[in-house]
Amino acid sequence: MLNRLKVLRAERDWSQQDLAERLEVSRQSVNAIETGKYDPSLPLAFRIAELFDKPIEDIFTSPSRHSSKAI
Amino acid sequence: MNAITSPRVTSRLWLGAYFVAAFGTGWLFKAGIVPGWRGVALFAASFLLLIPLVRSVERAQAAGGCASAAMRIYNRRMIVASLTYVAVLLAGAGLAAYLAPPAPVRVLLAIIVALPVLLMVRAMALLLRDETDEYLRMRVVEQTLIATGFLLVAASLYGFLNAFDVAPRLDAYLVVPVWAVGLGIGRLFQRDSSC
Repeated sequence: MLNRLKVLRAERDWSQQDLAERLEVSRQSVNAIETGKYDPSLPLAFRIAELFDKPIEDIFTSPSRHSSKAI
Repeated sequence: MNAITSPRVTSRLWLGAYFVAAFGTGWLFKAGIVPGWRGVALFAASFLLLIPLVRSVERAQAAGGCASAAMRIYNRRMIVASLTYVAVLLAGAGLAAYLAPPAPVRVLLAIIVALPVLLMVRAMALLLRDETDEYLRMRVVEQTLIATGFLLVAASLYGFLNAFDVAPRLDAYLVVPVWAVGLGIGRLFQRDSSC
């Protein structure tokens, strides 16, 4: 799933480790989400959204919308 | 950092050393090159390499950003269960072979020897319950599924090779180390192999 996590993190000058500590997950989890290797659960997605004070859809791109744009 | 000394490379070297030592000393005993209690002691001692192996894996996990408290506790539980398994297995096999106790005692021995395997399964279950990082938990679930698939295929194939008289009979308790090998293979086949 495409997301803006890396951009949002860079805007705050946070490293992956900084974000991982704020979310209470491993650095590898942050890396896997950022690179699209892993889609977070809804509770974790909400935690990410609350941390950045943004709606979920401002951070994660809906896969169906992304594929329809690609067509 | 030099690639040779990176924690990941070091952990793989320890893994290689562990397998060479375990299978090598087992072969030396089976082939009669180091017979008797010396061969058994050498084989049992090779499992002590699990301790530096697990420590090197933990260092690699920390360097890769995928260490967790639940995983550290799991590693310790697995070391204790594995070393207990080897000790009880060798003691049980020795008692059964040399003292030839009656069948009820041998049944009891078999149950005692199998108990550490229950500890390993318990360690895995507690890891899945206690791991709060959902991504790391998913990786463990994937590894166990791959390991189980590997074991099913390996055991079925070997069973048929044995049935068709092209392979010797093997003891069923070997499923435990084969499953452990499957866990390692699972790691290699995961999309994200950085942990």
